[in-house]
Amino acid sequence: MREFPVFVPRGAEHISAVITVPDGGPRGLVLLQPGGGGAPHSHRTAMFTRIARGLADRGIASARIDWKGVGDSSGVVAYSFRHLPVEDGLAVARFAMEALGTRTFGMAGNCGGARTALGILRQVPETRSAVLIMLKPLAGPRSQRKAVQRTKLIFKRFRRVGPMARRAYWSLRWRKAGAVLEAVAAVNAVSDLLLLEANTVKAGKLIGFVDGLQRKNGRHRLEMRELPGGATRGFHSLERQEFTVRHVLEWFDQTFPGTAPRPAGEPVERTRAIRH
Amino acid sequence: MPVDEALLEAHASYRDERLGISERFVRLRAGGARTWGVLSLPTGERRSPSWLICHSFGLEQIDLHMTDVAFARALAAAGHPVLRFHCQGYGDADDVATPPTPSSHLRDTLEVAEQMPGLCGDQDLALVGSRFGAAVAALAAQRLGASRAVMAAPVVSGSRYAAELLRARVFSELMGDTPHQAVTMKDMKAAMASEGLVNVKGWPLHRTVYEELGRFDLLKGLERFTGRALVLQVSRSPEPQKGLVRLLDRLREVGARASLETVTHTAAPNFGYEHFRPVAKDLLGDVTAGINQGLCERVLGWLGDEDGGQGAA
Repeated sequence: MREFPVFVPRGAEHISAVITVPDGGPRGLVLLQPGGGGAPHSHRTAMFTRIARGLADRGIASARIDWKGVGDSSGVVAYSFRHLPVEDGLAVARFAMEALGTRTFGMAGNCGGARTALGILRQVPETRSAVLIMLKPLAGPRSQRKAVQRTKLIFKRFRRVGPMARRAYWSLRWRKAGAVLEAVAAVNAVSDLLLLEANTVKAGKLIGFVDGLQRKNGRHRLEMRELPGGATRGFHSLERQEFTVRHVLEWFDQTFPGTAPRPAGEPVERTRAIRH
Repeated sequence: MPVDEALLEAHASYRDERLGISERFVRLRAGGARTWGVLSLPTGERRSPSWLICHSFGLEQIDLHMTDVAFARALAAAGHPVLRFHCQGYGDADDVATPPTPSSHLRDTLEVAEQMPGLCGDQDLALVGSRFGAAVAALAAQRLGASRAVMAAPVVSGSRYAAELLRARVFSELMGDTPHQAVTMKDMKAAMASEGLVNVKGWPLHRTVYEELGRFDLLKGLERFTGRALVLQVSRSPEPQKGLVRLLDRLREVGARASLETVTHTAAPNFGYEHFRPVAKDLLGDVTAGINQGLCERVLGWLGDEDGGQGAA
């Protein structure tokens, strides 16, 4: 495999990404988008680097991308679920597809990256498959209001009341998940879709929604798998990291056209001796 | 259709006319394998020294990356070539499976430093780093006979630092949704003894690495450094921290022209930790951006000071 780090122009700024190209013609391109917590293109503990190299072992190219103002991208960082970097991701996707000469596209993103993926996937006609990790349709930045913060602290003090109050709060907010759920349905109408979700209150009624969508959907695969690690934050669980790497690799290998150049059972990770 | 490698390679660099810099990805050798670095260059006249940035350890490599980038772009904008890179075990390095150690950081830094003259066209080398990266920068500067070293919030005692790493997980869980289930330091030390590693917020800290960190002592490691050294304290209070004063004394003992400056900021406790926080309604931002700006201003001011800044503590 070969790796090409690039800066893709976006207005006055440049978005950095590492494009990993397998030996031989790629089966397609997967865009890897980290979440909005400051993780760079390799992600924390190099998780996206491992996914990119594992995909290359399966004949699939990838572009792992930095948000504007994060990692090696230029610019000033500002994350908002209302203004996701969809155009930045699209610019990198189009650049990479042109350079690689592929017309098969997929995307994996976590948290804010998963929400961004929902915006990008619908605009790329070559989309075939996607993985949304910890989409959490209701999540957003924590409230800065002192009254809200004080109330949360009070509830946290009580072992039983706290979790009950949180469940009730997020259940009441579910009606606000409509836009994200519509986007999930729209993506699944044109693409195979895997959701990797932790079993937390923020996932809300996503399981029920996916069940309903599966019954209506006849053309494209739709699956939801529970991430290990319980209510652990992000990728703080080592087991969750391993699960994510394994399932993302398997999913794109199964849903992209063509077959991996290596026999099944080969190690998914590559540690040394990468050809450049 | 073949891969258009020429198109990909043509995008390995960019110019930013507003800052007066260019940045280019470069392939480097480190620790017997290869890794990627970013070379930042001024678009105008170049000045010595060239700077090598040493990143910090474990998750701090991510949490201080924006500090490293801020140093790189500020120094390049001031005319200096600057190189930042990933040690083996991190980011885009060839080997992301083998756990990095303090000694592997130093090994990789020394190997990359050897490649600096070829990349920058300059024999005069300086090093800068934050937290554990600052300690590596100091030791590498000593070994290489560098002209300058800048240490932002340096780790002085490895055993204290190792305990801080464990404590970071305890605090993270105490601030989480189920504080009554938070792990304790005792639990983590027991897990380290029985299982050979402990999970620190998603970073597997192996016992051998933990023990090597515990043996690390920057004061003992410094034996001779005759260049200029700037120690930067990052804190809420301007009062000099005892550990950094001891480091300053030690640097002077071994022959350095050393000074201490302080960047005070309300977000100082976030330095080296997760630092993307709500800054407005529905908006997350980098709360340590002001610290990074302050650090860069201190370094540029210090570089402009021809007297060497003796006795600023």
